[in-house]
Amino acid sequence: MDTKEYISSGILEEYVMGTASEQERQEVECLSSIYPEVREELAILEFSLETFAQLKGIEPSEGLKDKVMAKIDAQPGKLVKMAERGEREKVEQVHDRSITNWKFSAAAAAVLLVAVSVWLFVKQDRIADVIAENQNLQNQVDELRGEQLENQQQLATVEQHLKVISNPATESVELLGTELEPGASSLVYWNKNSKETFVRVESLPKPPEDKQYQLWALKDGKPIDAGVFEVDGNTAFLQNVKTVSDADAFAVTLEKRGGSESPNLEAMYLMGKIKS
Amino acid sequence: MIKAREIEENELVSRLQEGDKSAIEYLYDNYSAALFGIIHRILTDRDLAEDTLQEVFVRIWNNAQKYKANKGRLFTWMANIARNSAIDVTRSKSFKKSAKVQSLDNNVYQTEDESRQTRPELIGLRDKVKNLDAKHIEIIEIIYYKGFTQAEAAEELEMPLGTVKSRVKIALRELKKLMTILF
Repeated sequence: MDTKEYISSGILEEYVMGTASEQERQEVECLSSIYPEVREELAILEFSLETFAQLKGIEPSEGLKDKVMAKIDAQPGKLVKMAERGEREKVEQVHDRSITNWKFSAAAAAVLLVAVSVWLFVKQDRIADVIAENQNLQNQVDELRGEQLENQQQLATVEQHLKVISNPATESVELLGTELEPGASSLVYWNKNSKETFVRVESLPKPPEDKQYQLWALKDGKPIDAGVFEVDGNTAFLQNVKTVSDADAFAVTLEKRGGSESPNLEAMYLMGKIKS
Repeated sequence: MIKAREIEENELVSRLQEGDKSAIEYLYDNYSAALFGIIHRILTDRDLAEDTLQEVFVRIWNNAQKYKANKGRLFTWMANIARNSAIDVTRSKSFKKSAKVQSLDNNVYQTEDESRQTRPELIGLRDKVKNLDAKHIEIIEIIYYKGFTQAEAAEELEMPLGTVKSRVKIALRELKKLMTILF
């Protein structure tokens, strides 16, 4: 089946939006349990909608949580039965299907290839075709695997970034432009516990080829190098820079590419204090 | 690592299904705003919406066994419960009597002003979402949030069914692209 065509048909979108018919739902669920790439795409769509819903969320009133927990306490207790546990184990097995399916597909493909090879050995004139087919299938498997890995990596990066910015230990510091570039701005995310630091470039002029922006952590007036970062069309949402053990403020200067040992104060573009 | 995320969700689901209260508390802490966003956009009376939110969490708690991982993520399941509960309320006799009938006016789409996003770091993302084409936000709101079928949406928005279908596809593509900005 051409999974690329299926994925671009729009049916997965209907499924996650809740408008697919019962038959279509079953088809999607079936295909996503067979084809990892369909399942991946479904997961990405669901995750996108889920994040959208989070962003569009509305906070309920303060006291509501206690009311909800009280209502739940009042519900009849739950018993874990052996049957339920068995059910759960089935679910866990289903989750392994991503890897299991690959193994299964690889094993099935191998068996198939062996069978075909044996049969065709009898018809020797087709051996060259079989070898070519084998290579073709292997290429497709590799390609799909590569795509799957890419998707997984992308999702992992998204989740990491979301974790960083929503972590309560993360201090977000707004850096504003100096006279050199009054309209400039960027954000520094600094995790006070892990000391990890990230830069989110917002508005900074692109530097000349031989120069680079450098972040400095300022403590008691002393600047400490926090690493360099990029400003171009391809920058990631967050860039991980050096760890910062302590700071009262942050500043960004334009230095030679690779950074300098001490800041060129006449090339300071951004500055921001940490709110105490 | 979709696998790692699945394991987290797996564990959460097991604990929920076993009756571990910390699991439902975790769900409330992390998802009540998202679910309330759905409910409140259908039921614009805040008290009614909050009562329904309570019902929804009790329902999630009581029906946890019904969630099956092969049908998608836990949030999708919870969002369906939230949406359906709110829609059921609008169909109830008492609701119809009280003449709090919701008509689809544009104010509903701007309810985001109500949200006091307690996580300031997400505000940047919210701005990006605002840059989505209004007609794409609209189609997500009317179908995903309000639970209209595509045919109902076509009627309400006075456009052909084909346009609705393609708009849904494009809207989700745009959403996906938005998420990839986070890479």
